[in-house]
Amino acid sequence: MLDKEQGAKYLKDYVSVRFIIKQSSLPLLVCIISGLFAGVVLASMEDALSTLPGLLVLIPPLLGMRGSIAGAFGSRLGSALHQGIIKPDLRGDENLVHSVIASLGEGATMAVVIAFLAYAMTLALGRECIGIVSLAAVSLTVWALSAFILIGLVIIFAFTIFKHGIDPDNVMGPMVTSAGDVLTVLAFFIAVRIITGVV
Amino acid sequence: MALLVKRYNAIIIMKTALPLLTFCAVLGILSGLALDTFKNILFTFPGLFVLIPVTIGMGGNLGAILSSRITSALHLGVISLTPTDPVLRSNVLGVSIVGVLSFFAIGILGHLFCVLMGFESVGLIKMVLISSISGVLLILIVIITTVLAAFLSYKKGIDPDDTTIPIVTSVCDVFGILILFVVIMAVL
Repeated sequence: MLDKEQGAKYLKDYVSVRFIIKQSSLPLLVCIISGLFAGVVLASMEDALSTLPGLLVLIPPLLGMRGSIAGAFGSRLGSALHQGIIKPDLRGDENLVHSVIASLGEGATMAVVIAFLAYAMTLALGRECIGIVSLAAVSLTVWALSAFILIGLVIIFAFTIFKHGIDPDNVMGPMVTSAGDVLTVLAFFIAVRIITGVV
Repeated sequence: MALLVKRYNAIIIMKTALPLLTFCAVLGILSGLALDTFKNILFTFPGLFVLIPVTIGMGGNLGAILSSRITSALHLGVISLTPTDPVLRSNVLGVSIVGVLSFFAIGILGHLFCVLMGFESVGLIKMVLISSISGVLLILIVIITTVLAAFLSYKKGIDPDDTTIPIVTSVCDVFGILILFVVIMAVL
């Protein structure tokens, strides 16, 4: 429980506009820079995106999915560290292993689901789309290239800040979405290169 | 000592998450189809690509900040859904101010990134106009969605921590792209 003095300070912070701005500017600046970087990578793929119809449709769901899955993993890790369910070391803790497997499994499943739904919805609107095999190959390659690295980064980041006594809840969100956006777009760039090389 | 030893199970975590993730995927694909609709404008001014991830992302981030603040305040019982509530007003005002400043900065930095990387930009003034106007509209959507989702979940006895952020980020995925291109067409 908060005592009276702490409670008053907490409430004061909650109604202080200046406090809100001060606390959120740095994470938002990180998001702006990483988001613009992701945009530059997309802009450099203009040729592939204009010649391979359907790829454009994949971009928002792939970006969103990486953020949702890694974001949920990050906040579960944060809560588990707080409650002592997961210890901040890497010696194969069973709860950590299960969280990692769940997160990777969700990513792989959703990569396939997104490809099929995007294909079906694009065709349903009477628009052009590359073949379902190529679309699924791009989606799964993006997952394979980005998911493992992102999970690793989230674990290392959560453990490090937890050991330094910083509350992971306050910094994990923006960090995970920023790293996720950049990794996903870079993976998308490489995946499209590979697929256009093969097809 | 802990009385309840919590165990995570990968299958259970996945079973819980997949329906919501599928719903988010459908919204994401709708956003992708909106992007596909405007592809002619995009391929004429590839510099506009630079604005896409950051616009979607910022909407989600502002929503996440506002919703985690409102949900914490709800749990503590220091906030109510009335237009005169001081906690609600200052949080909405604070997020609006950082939001407007951020989208203004995105316009300037976006143009700078285009020039540095040699992409066709629509020009500094138009870039700032596009980013700022779509930012203001998106912030309005973020505020309305977040406040409604948080209070409705809370009233229904669902923990708003579990619902608000995924709802707001998915809504921003769709509206972010739509608003961005409506504004682009109005400004160009």
